[in-house]
Amino acid sequence: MKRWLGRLNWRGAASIAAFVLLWTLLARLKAPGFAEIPDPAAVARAFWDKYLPSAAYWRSWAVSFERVGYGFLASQLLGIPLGLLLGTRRLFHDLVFPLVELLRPIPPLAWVPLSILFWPTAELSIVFITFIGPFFIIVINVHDAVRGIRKEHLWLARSLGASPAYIFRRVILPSVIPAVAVGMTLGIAVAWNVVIAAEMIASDAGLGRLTWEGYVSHTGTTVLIGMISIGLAGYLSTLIVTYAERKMMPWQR
Amino acid sequence: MAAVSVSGVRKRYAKDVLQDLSFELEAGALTVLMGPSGCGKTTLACMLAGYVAPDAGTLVLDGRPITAAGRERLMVFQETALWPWMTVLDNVMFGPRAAGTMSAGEARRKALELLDKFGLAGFRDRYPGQLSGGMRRRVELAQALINNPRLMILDEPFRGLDVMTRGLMQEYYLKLFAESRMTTLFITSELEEALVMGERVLVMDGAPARIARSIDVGLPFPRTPQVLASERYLEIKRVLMAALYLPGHRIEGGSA
Repeated sequence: MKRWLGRLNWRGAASIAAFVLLWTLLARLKAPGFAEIPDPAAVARAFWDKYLPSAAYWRSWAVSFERVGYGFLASQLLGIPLGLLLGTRRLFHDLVFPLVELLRPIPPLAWVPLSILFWPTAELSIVFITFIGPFFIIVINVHDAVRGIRKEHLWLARSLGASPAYIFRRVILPSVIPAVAVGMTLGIAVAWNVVIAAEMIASDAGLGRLTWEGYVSHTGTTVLIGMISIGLAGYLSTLIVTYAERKMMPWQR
Repeated sequence: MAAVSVSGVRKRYAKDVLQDLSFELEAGALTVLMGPSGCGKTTLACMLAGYVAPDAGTLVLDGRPITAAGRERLMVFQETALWPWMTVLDNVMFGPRAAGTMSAGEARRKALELLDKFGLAGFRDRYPGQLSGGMRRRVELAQALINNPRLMILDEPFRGLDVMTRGLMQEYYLKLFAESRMTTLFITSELEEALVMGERVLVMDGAPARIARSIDVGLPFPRTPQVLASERYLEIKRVLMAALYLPGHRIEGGSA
């Protein structure tokens, strides 16, 4: 307990407290723009009374997490091999890379209409849109990382008699791990961005939908609880990804 | 007997770097290669290692032409090439495991033996990023020596080390060399280092470069402080300096 207290970031805690205080002040004074915005106490009360015991609220969490989980996982499982192929196979690169570069600038949300037309269920189309954002990020990161491998690292392995397959496994794969980590950090944030927007447009469940419903029904507390929940969910996901990254790179402490 | 013979080598990138470059390395000798910066020393080293092909000319080791990278010719690079994601032990074991010349147990035993000899026994489970520059260089030597190469190419290996470590590493390599008499090409841009290490010094000139001089150092080993203060040392230093800084010497970018 004492150790935990010692490691607590006091400055950060103070800044959050100051933020809540300012918010309270502005909401109580009905400052311009704050007419319909509830103060933190009202939000906390609504959370405690209505949301904390509500199964529907926690289902929103589960639904959004599941979409991000599937979309993100699929983006890594397909994107990392694609990036490796693009980086290592000349012919494949020449064939496929221009296509990647054409599709990459299309924002994930621009995929929404096509995705709804294409996929048989709304659920699949949302997972697909959540997949698109992190997918291109990881592909480009891994691709660039393969191209940026120091030539001495490859030369040395060749001199020591390693076969191409051995070099791939022992030199190329570990070389791109730091880039995979960066791609994952960026990707998980984008996945949350996209899933929330997609839920507002095209879903009847999830934290994005919850927030949107708060707006439609003029319930300020719901909007704020939705937003804070999304923030916490994103933060939690980042913690998980950061933990995975540490495990992936034992040589970087 | 010549172990390495290089003849008529030419290499052109944006402009001619090497032209009609020829020399021989005696088997079991430590030869130093010097020359102005940018004159193509590293390019030449990469050709001997088999990473870069010449536009013309031939490079031969023990009667066999050099056409690709191979385990009999190993290079220590200017910047460390140790793989940062492998422990010291895994880095050293890489060669025999990759080439399948030793069993895992045998490679491990041999690697530990070398690490012990190089004063790195306690560091086998560290990662290269956790070692000092001098230690990394010793790991690289172990990584090469476990394969018993026929030719060692060291490309300014001790550059960037502090003066103390540098002196120790020079002494270290000389001791190693005295034991193994492994044919060595040692590239440096430091005159003092050339005279501490070399039995013979090859001097390249500038753009496009050839071997301009071959100078027998003729100083006894070990090169003790007394040796390095002798008449002969001063004389050979003068000769080498004259070869390097000859008036009208074609230095890259210069018009002299």
